[in-house]
Amino acid sequence: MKDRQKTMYVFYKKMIRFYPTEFREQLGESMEQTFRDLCDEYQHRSGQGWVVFVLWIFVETAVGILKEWVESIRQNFGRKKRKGIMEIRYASILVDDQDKALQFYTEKLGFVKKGDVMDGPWRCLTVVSKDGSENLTLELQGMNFPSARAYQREQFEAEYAYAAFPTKDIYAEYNRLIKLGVVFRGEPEDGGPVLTVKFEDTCGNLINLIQVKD
Amino acid sequence: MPNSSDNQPLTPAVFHILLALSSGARHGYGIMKQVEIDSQGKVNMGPGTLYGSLKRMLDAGLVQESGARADPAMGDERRVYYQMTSAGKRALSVELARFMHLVALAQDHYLDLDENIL
Repeated sequence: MKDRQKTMYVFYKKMIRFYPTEFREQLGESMEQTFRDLCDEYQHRSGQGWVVFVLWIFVETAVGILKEWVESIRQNFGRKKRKGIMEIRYASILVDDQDKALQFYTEKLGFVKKGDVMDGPWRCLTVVSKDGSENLTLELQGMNFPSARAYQREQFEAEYAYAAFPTKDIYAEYNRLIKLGVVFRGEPEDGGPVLTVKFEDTCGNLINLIQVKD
Repeated sequence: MPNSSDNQPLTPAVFHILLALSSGARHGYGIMKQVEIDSQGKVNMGPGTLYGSLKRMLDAGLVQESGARADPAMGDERRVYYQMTSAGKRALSVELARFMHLVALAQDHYLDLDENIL
């Protein structure tokens, strides 16, 4: 009697692992306890009663697992579409010359101009990736506030990269940009989870070119 | 998903769990047994349904954990207890009022129907 209960515990524990992580972490332990309580109640039943219980409990839990996955996927999808939740869609980089920056970011780096409008006294110049994805717009922001130049210069002198642009093949991109005359600070090197190398954007910044390792 | 901020009808599982918790905090097995009693044995809730509903009720703020402790009637093992929140009480009251309205309506209709038949 005890052996079959032990086997059931082990199976059920394994089954609970199939629940989505968030669910499992929040309720898994309590669920196991409830299962043990149910087993204690049904342990004295023999033959058909026990088989029916085993079938019911495992099928019912399997259906529960499926439902939770559907719910989890639905919620994640809904979260993305939910209004009012902030998203990272817009970032900016200080450049000391917007015309020069537009030329470098489009002609050398291969980005595409998205917008170029005047916002009061300021020029709002933006670019996006060439692959057509507009998930992130990058503003090439002029020196619109007094300490901008000092801020940018100190960051540059400290060899601190202002931004990081990922690529699928760092060596191919590195060689392509070298040929276009882009100034690199060394060669691609191992940076832990990524391969990385810095280059100058000709507008006062160092940029990291990175490739996430497989 | 049950939402504490709207008056949408509750699912049968959520309704039964709230009803089971209306008389005090219970652990998972305790909720199952109370549901069985309340429904006169007609609802046999399994752990998949119970915990799936509890998850959504916890997220919606209808119930909350009230800590882990041993059940004097069930040995020394500690069990996580769940209790109804004020939002849960409100949701149950709204659902009960809805049921009462429907029952009254159904009785009226039934009487009309009955008279017609007669």
